[in-house]
Amino acid sequence: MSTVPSDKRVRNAGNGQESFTPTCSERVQRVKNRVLRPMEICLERARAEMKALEQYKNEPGVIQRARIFETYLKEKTIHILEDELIAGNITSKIRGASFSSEMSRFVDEELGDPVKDFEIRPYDKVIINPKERKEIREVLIPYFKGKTLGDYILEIASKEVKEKVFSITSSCSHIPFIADLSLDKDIGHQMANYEKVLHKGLKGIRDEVEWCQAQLDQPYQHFGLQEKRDFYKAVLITLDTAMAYAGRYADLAREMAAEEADPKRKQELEHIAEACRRVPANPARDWWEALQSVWMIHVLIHCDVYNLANSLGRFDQYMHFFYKKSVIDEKTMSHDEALELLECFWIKFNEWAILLSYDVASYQPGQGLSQTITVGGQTRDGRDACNEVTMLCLEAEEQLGRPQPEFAMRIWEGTPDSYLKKATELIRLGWGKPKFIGDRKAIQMMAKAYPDRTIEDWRECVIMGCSELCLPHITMQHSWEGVCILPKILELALNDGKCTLCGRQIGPLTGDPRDFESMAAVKRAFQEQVFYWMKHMAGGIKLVKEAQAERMMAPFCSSLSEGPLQKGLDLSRGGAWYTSYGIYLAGLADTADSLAVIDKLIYCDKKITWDQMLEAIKANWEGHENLRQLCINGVPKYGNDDDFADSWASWVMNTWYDEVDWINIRKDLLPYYGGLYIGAGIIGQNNVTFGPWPGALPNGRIYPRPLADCISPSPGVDKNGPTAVVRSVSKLPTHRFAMGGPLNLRLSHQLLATDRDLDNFVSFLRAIEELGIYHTQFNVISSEFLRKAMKEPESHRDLLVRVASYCAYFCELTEEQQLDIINRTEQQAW
Amino acid sequence: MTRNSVTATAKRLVLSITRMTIHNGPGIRTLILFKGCPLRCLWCSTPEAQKDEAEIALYPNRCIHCEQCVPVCPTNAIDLTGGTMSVNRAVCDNCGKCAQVCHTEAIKLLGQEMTIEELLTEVKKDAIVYKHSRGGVTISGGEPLLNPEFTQELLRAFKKENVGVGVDTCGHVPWTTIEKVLPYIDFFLWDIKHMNDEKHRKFTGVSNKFILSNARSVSERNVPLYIRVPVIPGYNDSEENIRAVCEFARDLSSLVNVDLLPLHHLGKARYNSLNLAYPIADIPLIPDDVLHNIKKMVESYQLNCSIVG
Repeated sequence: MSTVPSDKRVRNAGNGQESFTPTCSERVQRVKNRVLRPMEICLERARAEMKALEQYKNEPGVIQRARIFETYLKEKTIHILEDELIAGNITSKIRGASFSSEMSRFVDEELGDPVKDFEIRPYDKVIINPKERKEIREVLIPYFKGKTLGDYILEIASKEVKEKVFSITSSCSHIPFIADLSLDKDIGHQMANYEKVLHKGLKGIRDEVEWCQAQLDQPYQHFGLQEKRDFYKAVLITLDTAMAYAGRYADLAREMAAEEADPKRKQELEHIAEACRRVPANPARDWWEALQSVWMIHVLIHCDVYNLANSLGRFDQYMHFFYKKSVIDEKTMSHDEALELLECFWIKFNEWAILLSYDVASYQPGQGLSQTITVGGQTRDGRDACNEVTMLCLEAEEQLGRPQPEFAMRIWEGTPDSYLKKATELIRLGWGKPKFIGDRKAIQMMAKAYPDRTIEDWRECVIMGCSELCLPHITMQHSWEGVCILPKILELALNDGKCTLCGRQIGPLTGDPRDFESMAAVKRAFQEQVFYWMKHMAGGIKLVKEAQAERMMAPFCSSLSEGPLQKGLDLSRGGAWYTSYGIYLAGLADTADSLAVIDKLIYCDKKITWDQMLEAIKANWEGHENLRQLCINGVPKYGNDDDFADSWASWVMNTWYDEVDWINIRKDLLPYYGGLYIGAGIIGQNNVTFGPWPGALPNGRIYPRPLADCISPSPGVDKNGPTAVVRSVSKLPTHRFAMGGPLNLRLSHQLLATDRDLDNFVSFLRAIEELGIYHTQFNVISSEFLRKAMKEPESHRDLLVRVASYCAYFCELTEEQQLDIINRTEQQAW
Repeated sequence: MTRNSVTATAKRLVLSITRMTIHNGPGIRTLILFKGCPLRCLWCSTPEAQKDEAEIALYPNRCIHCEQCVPVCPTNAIDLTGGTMSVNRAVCDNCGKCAQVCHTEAIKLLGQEMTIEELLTEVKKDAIVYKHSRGGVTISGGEPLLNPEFTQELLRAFKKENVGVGVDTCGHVPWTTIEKVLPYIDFFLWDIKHMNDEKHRKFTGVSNKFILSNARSVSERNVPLYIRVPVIPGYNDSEENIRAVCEFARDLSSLVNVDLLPLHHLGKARYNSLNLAYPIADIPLIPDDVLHNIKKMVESYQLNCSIVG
């Protein structure tokens, strides 16, 4: 998932980026500019799938998948571009998105559509030339029609699942819980054991597979032997393919070197050839080879599975060994050379994207990727983990500032000031990077998700994708399986199970609120609705996951995780030591604030009646502005450090999570191969997408305005500043949301103007960590954003700006003053 | 808390409590503005803090003409005819009944009576933030030292909870008041508006005699001082005055910094909301280079100086 902070798109003018001058080499500058080009489609993967499926028609599924990998990698276009030091391309284009069979269902619908066509749509455009269009239309789609995972699932899904929890087939287009997010996808997210590859090489892993294979002949082995044999055979095919693929780059680099006139470039190409000849098949020997190895594995993973959030884990931890060897001990490389290599590696994450459907892309604009590098935090034994590579990553990010990779920094009480301060300088640049992960809460969440592990293991947690916390390479984390739009549940509870937008009776009959004698009755109706829908959603997810287990095996990725080899079981079938399924909650703040309004105005103060409230909501608040203002201003809201409002947010979270726990206890609603549902606050820009799901809400929200994002307060209602917001969040039972949930904070970049401001910001980060906030990301605001706030004051009432010796809410100032501040903002240089 | 029953119930009018301010002393601080000030500076940017009584403020652009306020007004002071909202200030007694029924916050009652306990609860909320940033609370206003007993008890309560205390004062209070609270104060933000007594009277309504002598006495007691100078073009930005401030500041042994606060007109909206005239609306803002020259001048006296604003 992509965690583009919601204001990132208007970040450019008037903030730190304008006055920041990069110091990276000319090479890096050129490479950095090269990725600023339109995304193009690449059809090679689909062609290979077609070919392999024909050729290996009668093979078992897992072998077929291995053969697709083999066919694809044997024939796929490879290139080493000018200036490149790290080799390996995911698609045939300089910046490309692969088309694979699973996408043919939505491509069929959207290709050539006057609104949704990939070249026309307003976001995440992908160029498809006429020749490619013809091939997709005439060759690929006809071939894959009826053969994709989505087709298969829709064929076997029960009428009930299709109606209740599949958004694409339900007759109501506003169902509260959605379980068809993985219909067109491979399994994901996951994180390979990069450290193992770096130290043992793929050859070492191959030996392990052969050893496991040999065990099957032991007399005490009785069950599932054929499935296991097929699996190991498939893994071996993919490992051999992978090593041969790297060899193709070695050959190419050698050929290019032979023809290269410039002696310096010639030498570089020879070095690339040598590195690709050696890794990832063998252990890496130095910094360059380690980077090459990690990158090649990353490329190979995406040739095996089509998923968007395969992450890099604790990069600074497993790479430090090689940095130390090359730069500190053997001194074969300088710090600057190491940094340039890292930058060349870092930029490559931007060379590709996932082709997403029109709708799904709108949930997560920004080409859909979330390849996260995690740095910092603590070591297994509880010491500070920051090292030279941590700083090197911060320096690389500062120089590059491209959307990918996602960059997460774990912080804890022992994180040195120097690292935090460097991170703060990055925040000032306004990219929202790094995102900060507080170890204190992360470890509590680990305890919830991995109760059988120890504190040492919990300290190894990483971010997989956007905000999803897990233990690396022992977990198969199916992060993005279900979304619960909680304000919709509230709507159903207030309308006896009827959707107010389409009028259908979609939920259970939980009564007319006019008959609810107390708040307890409201809560009961809400709980009943949650219970009903969770059960249906789990059923839907179970179906999708079991269908993936039939068809979406990932033998190469399985070889890089812990569990599959030992069990002889593919990742898609529960092979990893741990398997989890992420379900997300959207609209926490809207739901909590609405309940607070009902509690206070209808039951406690008896200021209004249910008739008034229901009538106003039905009218989408039109003609009821005074009542709406009372609901907005007359009742405390979540995010202001107000115990009454915050306790409603806690209640909502706990109520929902009680159901998640209950589903986990009821094993029949989990996929047959086990695992655990884990909840999270919603991520990406789904708050905007899901705005039109519920009708008007008691908190004064007008249909179809965006919902509150993630676990942040509703837009514009938090009026007591950032410390009040983090205090409110700290009261929530977020340890139960063991998969994560970001808090987005908007700050004026004036708050980060001076060196002293940076020190204060560092203190604020430390306070956040101590308060137990798990994931925080900062938007540093540009003047464009301020102009937008002038136009739409109501949704920007929380915007804090520095006025003079004090701070004020931007929207409370007069137009003249606002312009004044905007002008000052633009003049300010640092 | 060792308090007698009088102070436990004692209240003072609070204009606002702002959390996470970063320009009112070291670290991240909660800023409390009290109502009531003995000075009437022409350039005052917080006019709603001048009077030590609650008063209503109007924000007509928020008004949705629901007309709820009209019938509740005991003095019939509100007029909504003609499409705009106005209040006859001559008859309005600031009872605040209109604000209670105004859901859009187009009418707000400024000034809320709060007890020491209530203030302490608010301030303690950010204790973790103070700890990491070496911040705390800064009391300001208005003039925070107006009510000696209340202030003493309040600051004692802060101290007891280990909250760092800064006081932003105009300095025009009896020495006996300051003496009482000195043990609980970590630093002062001390405003010096003009060194010339006559001009000081003209621009602020009071003499600067107490302000200067109190500052000296505070310095003798070794309580850190930040001298704050609002820089108002044509009023107090002459070289002569700035040099006089510097010479005065140079003799303060506990001086930490001289803060220059350049004029801004951002208080204008506040005057409008109170239906007051803004006395210095026409003065141009001070150019950056002029301000920097003043800063250099201050620094030539071997004083630390920063521009705040």
